[in-house]
Amino acid sequence: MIGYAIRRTLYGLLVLFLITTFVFVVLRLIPGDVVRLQLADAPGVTQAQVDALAAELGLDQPVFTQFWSFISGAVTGDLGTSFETRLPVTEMIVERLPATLELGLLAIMFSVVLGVPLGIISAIRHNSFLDQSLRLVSVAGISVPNFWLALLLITYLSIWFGWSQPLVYAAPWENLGTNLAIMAIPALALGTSAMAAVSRMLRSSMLEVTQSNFVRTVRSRGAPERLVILKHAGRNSILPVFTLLGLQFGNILGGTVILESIFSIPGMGSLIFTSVQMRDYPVVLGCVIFYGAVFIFVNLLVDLVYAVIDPRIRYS
Amino acid sequence: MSIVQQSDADQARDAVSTDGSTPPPVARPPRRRALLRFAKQQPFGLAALILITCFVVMAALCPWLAPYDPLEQHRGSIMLPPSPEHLMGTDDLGRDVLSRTLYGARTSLLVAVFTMMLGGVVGILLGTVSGYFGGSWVDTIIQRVMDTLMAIPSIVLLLFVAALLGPSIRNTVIALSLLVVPQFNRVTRGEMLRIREETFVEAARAIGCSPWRILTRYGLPNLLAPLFVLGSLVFAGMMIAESALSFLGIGTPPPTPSWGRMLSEGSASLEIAPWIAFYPGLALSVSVLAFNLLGDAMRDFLDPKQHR
Amino acid sequence: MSTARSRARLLIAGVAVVATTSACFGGAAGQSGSDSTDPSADQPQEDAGDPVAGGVLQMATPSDARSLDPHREASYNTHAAIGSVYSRLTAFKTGEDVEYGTTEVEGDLAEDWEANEDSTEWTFHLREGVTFHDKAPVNGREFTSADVLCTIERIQTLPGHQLGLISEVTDIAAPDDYTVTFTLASPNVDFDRVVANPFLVILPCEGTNEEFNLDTEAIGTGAFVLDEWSRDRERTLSANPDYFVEDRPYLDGYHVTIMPDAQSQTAALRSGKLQLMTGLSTDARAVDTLLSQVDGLRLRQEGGSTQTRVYLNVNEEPFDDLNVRRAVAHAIDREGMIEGLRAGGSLSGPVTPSFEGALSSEEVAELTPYDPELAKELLAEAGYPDGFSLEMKVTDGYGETVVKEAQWVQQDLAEVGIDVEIKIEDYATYYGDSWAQQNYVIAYGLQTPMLSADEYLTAEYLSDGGRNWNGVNDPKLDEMIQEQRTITDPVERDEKLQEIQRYIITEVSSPLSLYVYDGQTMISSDVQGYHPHPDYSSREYMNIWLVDGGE
Repeated sequence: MIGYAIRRTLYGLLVLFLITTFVFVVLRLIPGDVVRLQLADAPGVTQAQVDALAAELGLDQPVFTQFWSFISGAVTGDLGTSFETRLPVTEMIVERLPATLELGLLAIMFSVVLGVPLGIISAIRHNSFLDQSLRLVSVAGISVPNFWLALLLITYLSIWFGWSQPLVYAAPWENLGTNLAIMAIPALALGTSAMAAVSRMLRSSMLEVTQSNFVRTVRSRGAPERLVILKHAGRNSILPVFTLLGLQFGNILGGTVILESIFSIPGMGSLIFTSVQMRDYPVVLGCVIFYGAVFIFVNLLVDLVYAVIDPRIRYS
Repeated sequence: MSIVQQSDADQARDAVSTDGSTPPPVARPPRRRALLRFAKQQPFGLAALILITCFVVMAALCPWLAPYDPLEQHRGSIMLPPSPEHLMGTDDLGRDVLSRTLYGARTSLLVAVFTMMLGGVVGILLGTVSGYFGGSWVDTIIQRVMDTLMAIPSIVLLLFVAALLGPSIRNTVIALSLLVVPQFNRVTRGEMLRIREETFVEAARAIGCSPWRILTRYGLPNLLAPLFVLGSLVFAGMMIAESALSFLGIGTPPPTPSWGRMLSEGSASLEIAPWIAFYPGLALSVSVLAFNLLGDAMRDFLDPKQHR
Repeated sequence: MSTARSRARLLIAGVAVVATTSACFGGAAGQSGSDSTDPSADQPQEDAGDPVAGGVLQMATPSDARSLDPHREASYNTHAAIGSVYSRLTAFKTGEDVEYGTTEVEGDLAEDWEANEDSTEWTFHLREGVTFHDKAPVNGREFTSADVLCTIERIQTLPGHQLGLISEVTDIAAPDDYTVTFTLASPNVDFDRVVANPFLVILPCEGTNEEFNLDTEAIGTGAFVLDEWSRDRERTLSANPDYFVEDRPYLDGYHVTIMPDAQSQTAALRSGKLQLMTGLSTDARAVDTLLSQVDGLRLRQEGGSTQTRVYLNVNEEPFDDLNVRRAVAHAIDREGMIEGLRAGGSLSGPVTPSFEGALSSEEVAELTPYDPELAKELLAEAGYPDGFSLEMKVTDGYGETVVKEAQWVQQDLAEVGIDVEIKIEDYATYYGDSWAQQNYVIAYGLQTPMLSADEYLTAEYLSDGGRNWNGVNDPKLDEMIQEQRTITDPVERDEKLQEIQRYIITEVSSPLSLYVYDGQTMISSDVQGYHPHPDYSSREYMNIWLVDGGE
């Protein structure tokens, strides 16, 4: 178990290194020169100015040196300095993180709160009309692009009800009401597809468990079906849902990129998008590494918890 | 943005039992009867299949179905509401929305099909190799690369490819393939790992069958069911992803009609000319729904546990 | 240049920062007479009575400043952010009875000023008793001539547009606390307009000495105090209680929300959460709908100075042939484009038509009428009777409307036999690798407004011009452009400038300037006294007031 955890962690670090290398190389290959972009509107720019800015940003160094200095900094937690704002990347991430994290968690909560009952009902009434229509609803949930759903909500809520979200984002500890009013629609839009996935997964894993020998035995002792499902099958069938949520976390993090921008939420998603556009390499790199680390960590955690809960799983 | 449901791979894996009671390698009822049985057991699946057929027909026959050239700008009739001349109205360049929606089916299907072909083939190949050599360094390397692709948020990956190569249909396919590869890889590898331990494969190995022969003879046939399911779910994901890319302006380049682009173009005038975005949005959602339903239905149908 | 904001899809706004950069040049240079529509012309404005004090104005902008330092950042966003916080020596007049975009100046920090006979020495007498905002480390101390010296000296050490503005200054002296004297290398009768440029806001010495960080903090003498700046989120400003203009500002403060998505902005306006929405460039239909949906909403439409352009690389086949370039010019229905895709605009020649010395829109129309038949003839003459196929580079960084315009041009060109395929690039690639590197055959895009007719001509049409990215190399044109700079008589010079533009249109024909488009501002019914200047400085916010004090 401990050996497994160590090995998984090492793999995680290796993957982080691969991500860094991959993103670093891709960013250097993307056309569009950050120096020229920043000096775009200073009329009559001289070569000396270009060189000076390149030197200031450290872009005059050979690529390998740049990569090495980034890696050696990253190991100590220093992700470099933004080309745009000249602020430390870690500082920018720390500032932007809470919003994205909250949005992600709200979306997950939404998907669980709605997805779990839907899945259970579907499993209990399996193959009934109710089951079929619930499945249809949940599949419809993944069939509407979430950005589109969000835009429809923004436009029509304001036309029909004269409602629009509060103007300025507020952190939950500043003003919870404002915060939730802003987060509601994007969390809903983001959570819809996760919800569908959760209910689908739960339904099938419940059905699988209810047909296992263990549950058959319970059932044969005359336990009511409802009890069988909720008590005995429930615990075992929630495990795959757990894994699923770990993977969904990646989707949701990705989803924040578009939705944060639509809803003016100052999170990491919108930061990534603008930084790619502005060729702010350190910020893109920092954010992607951070997202990668979170994704790896969450999934590692899920697997470890899984191993603890379900001792049947052996890790060789 | 759930560009791709990473859970699809798990859903697909469910299509084959994992509790050791593996069905024999190739022992399925004759195809025609299977289709009938499918139609009977999975009414949604059947409906989805019919819808999909409609979309394919739409995509194939759009030059004959479309009343106008989808690119022609009717300068005198900009943003006209639906009327007998333009059944779905015209967009903000005076183009016929019906014709563009019909041709959009072609773009969406083409992108999804090519993505599945490229990403699917690479993913299956890597997964097969990885699974066959499970536990060795080959497997480790391939899996870490796949982990890397999965750990980078899909939309960021797409942004990179678009910035690197520029928006075009070909590059959209390349970008989306990057998302598809790990999923096919995952399912294939899992199956391969399982099959490898089966007695019939061990027997084959013992009598000196080459790895290639074992793969093609025993490996791939067993994979078909989960891959079909995954394929159908991923197909739906790809259509959404294409629209997201086009929505961001990094997918299908204008003036080629694509549902995502039309959504994006129409969303600016949602309140004054809702028809511009409504019809492509509807077409997109319905076809994605159809592929998702088909995937679900196939999974249930192929899952031996579901009809005990 | 408030690029096609309304249609710019969400995140594009981030890129539009680049595009809008240096937007302030347009008006700051003091080109007279951009046409503007008075709000009352479109919508009869009710008599709101006399100004009353009080209230907080809510407004939004699609993208935030990257820095608050006016010398490091040429972006429109920066100048809009700090324009009401800092003051200048002089400032362009604004107000109800003042023509939009006037070059007339009034005293800001300077009470009055005079020049010597040949306009080489300018003396400014500063207001006494002006204090900086009461924020550490400046702490509300009095403003003196030393701050002007600090500011000018800082400018001289940093690159940037502002350095060019004062390049003719050879010496600056402060004989006493309230007097500053500039000595110029050559006569300039307009130097009082030069110092009205928002790039020349006066910073406190504490800022130039780096006692506080000018990137993130702004402490000035303006009508509003920057209370809080939360990057990419909001800016909160409150009235400066000690502002040197009596009874101003009316507002208790104003609040700017950063909202990248146009749809969200519109929704907020509709629900009454926003009172002012600037920098729109949407089509007439959307504006009409919004006006009909929101009670009392007013529209202000201003002639812009951003030109839409077709760039033809004269070094590449087939555009090395003048006839082909002329064919393209005649093939495009520019008036149709304005009507179909923009809320308004005017045809433009090489120089934005509202500028001094520019060709009028009417003359531009006469010189290049929309004539597809003629275009076909020209193509045939050039040896392309069946046309040709090409790739046209376009960036979506300017917003969706520009992409739409490119598609319009695509169809117009197709009618005369030129098949162009649109290649979309993101702004960084378009600017860095294609446009500025002359790595294109044909491209569609915008041009950031420049200062004057002279700047347009020298930057873009001189064979060694800084923005000559079309490969134009015409000795005769070079000679003419150099010659106009030596003409001192204004009328004669204007004539020469126009002659050059006619020559460019008929004999050079690249880049093809199509038109300048109007920008729009939506003003809710309770906002009064909004009379902006195209320098985007936001100093004029001191005159805004809310009906009933915002109650």
